[in-house]
Amino acid sequence: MVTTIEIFIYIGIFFALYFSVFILITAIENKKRTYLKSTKQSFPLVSLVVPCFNEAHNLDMVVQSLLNLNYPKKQLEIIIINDGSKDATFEKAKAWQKKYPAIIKTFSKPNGGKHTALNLGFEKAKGEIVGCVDADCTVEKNAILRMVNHFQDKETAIVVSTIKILNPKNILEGIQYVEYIISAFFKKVFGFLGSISVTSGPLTLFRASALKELGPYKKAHQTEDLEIAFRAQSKDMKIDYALDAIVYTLGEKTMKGLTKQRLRWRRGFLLNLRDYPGLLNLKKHGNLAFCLAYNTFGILISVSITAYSLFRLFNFVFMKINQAVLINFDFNPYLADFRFVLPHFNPKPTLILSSLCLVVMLGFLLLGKKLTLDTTRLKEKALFYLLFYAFFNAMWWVMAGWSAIFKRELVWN
Amino acid sequence: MTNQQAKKIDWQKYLLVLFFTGLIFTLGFFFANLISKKNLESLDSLQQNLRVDILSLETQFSILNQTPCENLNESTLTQELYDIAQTLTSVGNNVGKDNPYYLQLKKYYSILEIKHWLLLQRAKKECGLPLTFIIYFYADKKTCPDCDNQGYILTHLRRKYPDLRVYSFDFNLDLSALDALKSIYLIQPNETLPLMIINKEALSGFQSKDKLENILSKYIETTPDDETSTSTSSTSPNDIDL
Repeated sequence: MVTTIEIFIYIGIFFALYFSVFILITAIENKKRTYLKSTKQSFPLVSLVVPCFNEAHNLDMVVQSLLNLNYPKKQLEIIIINDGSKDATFEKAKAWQKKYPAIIKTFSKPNGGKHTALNLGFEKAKGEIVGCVDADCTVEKNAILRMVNHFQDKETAIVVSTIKILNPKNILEGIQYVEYIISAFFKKVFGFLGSISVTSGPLTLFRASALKELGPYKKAHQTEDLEIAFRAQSKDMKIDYALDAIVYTLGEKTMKGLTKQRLRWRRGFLLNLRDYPGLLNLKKHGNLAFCLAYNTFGILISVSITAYSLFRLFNFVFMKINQAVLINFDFNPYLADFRFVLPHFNPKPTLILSSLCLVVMLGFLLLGKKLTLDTTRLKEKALFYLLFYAFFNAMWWVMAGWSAIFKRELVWN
Repeated sequence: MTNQQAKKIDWQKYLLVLFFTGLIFTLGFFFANLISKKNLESLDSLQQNLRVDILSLETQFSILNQTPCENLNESTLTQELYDIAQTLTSVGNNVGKDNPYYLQLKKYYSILEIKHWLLLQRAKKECGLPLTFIIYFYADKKTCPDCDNQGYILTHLRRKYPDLRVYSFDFNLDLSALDALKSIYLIQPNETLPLMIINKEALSGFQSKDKLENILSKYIETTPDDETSTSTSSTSPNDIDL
């Protein structure tokens, strides 16, 4: 006997499996294009803009990593924009400029948000390639070199990097670490499909001429990196993904911080999609429209299935408490006669198919780990990810949906 | 390759993915059904074993013309009965409580319960076994919302008192042997459920653990003897209504 909720779960699992198979087949058919094999190396002038708002404690880390880049210093320009910080960001930036006047330039402006800082930086940039680097990041020394290679394809307008969490210590950072590894694999495949829909804030490079054509960054519901990708896609500009260009970012250490960040991202996705509905046009945007539509439909599915699972879990806990009350908490017969009895294994197709989805997810994690050449121990992190992520994700989507519908502006910075 | 080319839908690939997904989906259903079938087969074999054991004991009774008290090992039979209940519960949850095959298995199980009960009644009388019996009638959640809780309390008591035997029956099961059992205890079709018969004493409606223990104290030693406990299964026959 199949219940209505089971039918809904089957539909959800079918779509999740369909998308997983789609991603896997795309990855296999483009296997040879995973890493860019470049025969000639060019060194165009690269301008990297670092927008800062109260980043005095992080600035040394990011600037030092940029100075350590395996890229000719003569061809590198680092532009630090102080966006009205109240701490010693500007003084620190000035000190770096004094030390490396040929490479580092510093500008200050009243606080106006990240997009305004980036726009000022790009105005001042002289590079043929321009990019943004978040101030709480550290860039791997070969990252820029590898990303620049992608611009040898004249079609390429934007190149995004692989983000990893820097020194994950607590459970939340571990969960984010796994999330980013899986996301790296997905982004690479989306790249094959011409369907990358976000230019990651930590490190993205633009062909300067393409950025000029695109126009300045917009506030875009505090997700300027998402909006500019949507804008580029709407103009059919090519966004490539450099899997082996790694940038490390600081993970959110607290649930409050993580929820605030994810709520902003998800809300931004919903509102920007509303602003660019044309991207869902299957005829015009093909694979991208499919991926975005799946993502939107997937939100509904994942929220519903998670809510149902939680309902079942609470029901089970309530039943157990009720049972304990029924027997006046007299557990002696069970303790005296305790033996481990294997539960009778009689699974429904939903259990087998959802277990398969979990296996596929683990497969994506392993592929992401392998492709991003990651050597970190992931076992515990993966366990916590599998246990908690679906719940967190559903919660963030519900909050983001609520916030997007009722137009509540988020307080940022 | 331009971005437009990369974005272009390859319908052949989309159809191929649909085919593979369909295949995986079908395999998922296939394996679930295969395991379900294996469980049904194991249930068949469990029921068969119990039937043979009961028949064997009945035959011993007949040959010796008396109960073979010195060789009587009823705990094995009881354990077998509980094992069947456990498997039957699992099958019921999987195939649905209205499934005709499940209902057939449940009828067969109920008959085995009655035979087991008759046999132990005789063993109690002739060998002086200190057993106490509870016959428990339950129904589905809609008809009897308290039956789940009552079943749990009875499972607990069965674990607590090794000399207690609980036989649970679906009140609405269409089975003549069950009708005969009901007629012995003058049970009406409109009885309030859950309904329990403890050594001929009928109790209608939900009974708390304390109340049941109070009643049981008349028949059995209410200080449980854990050392001699033979009740090892975590599942009682009345789990079939859960």
